[in-house]
Amino acid sequence: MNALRCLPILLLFAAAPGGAITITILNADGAGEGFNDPAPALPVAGNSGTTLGQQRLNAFAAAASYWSNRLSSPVPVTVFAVMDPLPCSPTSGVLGSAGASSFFAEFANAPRPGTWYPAALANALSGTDLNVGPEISARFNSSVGVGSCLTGLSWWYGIGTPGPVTSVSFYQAILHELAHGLGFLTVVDAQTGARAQGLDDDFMLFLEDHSTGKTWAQMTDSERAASARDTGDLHWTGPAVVAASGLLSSGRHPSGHVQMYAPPTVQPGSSVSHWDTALFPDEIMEPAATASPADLVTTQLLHDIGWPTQAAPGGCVRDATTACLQGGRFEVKVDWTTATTNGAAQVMSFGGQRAENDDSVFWWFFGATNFEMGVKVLNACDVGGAGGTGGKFWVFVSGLTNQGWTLHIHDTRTGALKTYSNPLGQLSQTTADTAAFTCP
Amino acid sequence: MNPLFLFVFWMTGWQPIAPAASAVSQNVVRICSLAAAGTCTDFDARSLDPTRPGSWGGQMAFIDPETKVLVQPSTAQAEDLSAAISLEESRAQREPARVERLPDGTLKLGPASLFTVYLKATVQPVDQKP
Repeated sequence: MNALRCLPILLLFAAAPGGAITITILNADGAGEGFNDPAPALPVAGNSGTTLGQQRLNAFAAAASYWSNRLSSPVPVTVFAVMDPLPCSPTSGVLGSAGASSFFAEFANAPRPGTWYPAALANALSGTDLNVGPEISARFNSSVGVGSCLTGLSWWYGIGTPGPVTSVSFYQAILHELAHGLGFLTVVDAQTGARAQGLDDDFMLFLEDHSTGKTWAQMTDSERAASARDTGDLHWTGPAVVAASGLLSSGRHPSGHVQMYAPPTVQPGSSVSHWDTALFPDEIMEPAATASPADLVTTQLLHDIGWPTQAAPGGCVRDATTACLQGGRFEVKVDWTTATTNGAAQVMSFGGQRAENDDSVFWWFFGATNFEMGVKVLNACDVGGAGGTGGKFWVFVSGLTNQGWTLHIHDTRTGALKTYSNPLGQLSQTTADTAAFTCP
Repeated sequence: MNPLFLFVFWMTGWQPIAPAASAVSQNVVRICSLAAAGTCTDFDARSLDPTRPGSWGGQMAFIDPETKVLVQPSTAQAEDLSAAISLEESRAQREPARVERLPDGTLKLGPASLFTVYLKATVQPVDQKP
């Protein structure tokens, strides 16, 4: 352990330009340990690090990047990060801990008086560094799977990809815990309903109990405590989440409100400060780890509590009629037309799961179960090819319709726009454009 | 290290060495290492972001005990594997909150332990799952 980690450190960085954010990971581990562990490691999916320490840092940086590309602040966010042996036994143990270093109220430009905001968000809203030192602290267990610590379990350092079933994604854990540190958390005591020092916090402002129609700001302590146990009725009402909630197939009230986690017995740390497990697709901020969580409403919740947000990487914003492929670089939309009407195609769902991944998307025109066409954009930047097919992004389109359609693909990085059309009355042809967009 | 020295070190505005941010993106992830005297390296956040939120647990693989061949697990086998590892979060015992009023009237709430979330894992032998 490095003794320096205990020091108060003022980080004086130039602020990033508006609409962006700098997240600083303050690696406070000593030489040869934790994030500096020199033990050789084989590169794993999405992580090319060749030492244990480098792989850990890569995963941490990727998780920080995830939030860096979605949130905005003129004040850098500093995350104090260490890996240490933490208490554990062969069958249970702490994988890590994280949280905001402090909350602020009554600061200049505070949106609401008498309200607590987590340090990083308070900085973003005030435009000044209110906090001396890191805004978030994170500590993870370096002993997982070593000796008698959580025997058989291991960290998985792959990024954005699943690992062995007996592993826990380090990247995913950091992504989740950083969200808590950024403000996905109430400081209300869920057991008693008491607010911190008698003040509201920005998270609880958007909590509503559907059985009473009261918001948490309107409730007494005992009413909040009861609401924290009101399974299925504790809702998030923030406008950004409500606007995006149509992407959920369950866990959503017809009003657009989204269920929060409120088990009958309060679980400190889990109750209230997570989405309900009823949400589908599963979200990254549910209390129980799930195999392939999404972020359909989590970033939107951070927006509701006050975070200025950016479009997804590449500038594409995913919604019912917009797909974002290749890391959000390509915005994909389809217009359709018949002899009598027209409209915007919508992204299909299969079994409640949005039919879109990083490469491909399926669309419907008239009915949610009626597949009309599919589009894929492939990254062939590293593919050599004769005739100029290599070093490009490829576009493939096919349809099962004789209705008219126009596909619009916008490269949000370069501004290039490609359209592909099928005339009304003609059965769709398969199109392969292997010179569609330039790299990188 | 002498605390007085550290205080001076801090007040003089110790600044990690930071190369210029990438011109490609305004979003920067900066990694600073205290073990390397505060040296910092900047990365273009867009080049590091896998975009997909990712996966918590791993894909399930199952070896058929009779054929020894890697197969897709049955629903029951998948449930057994999932039940073997559970993750949960908790908050520590709440310490008394402290409120500090800063010179400009801002209120600061601490200590940090009030807001710390602990991620805990339990590994349960498959034959002991509930």
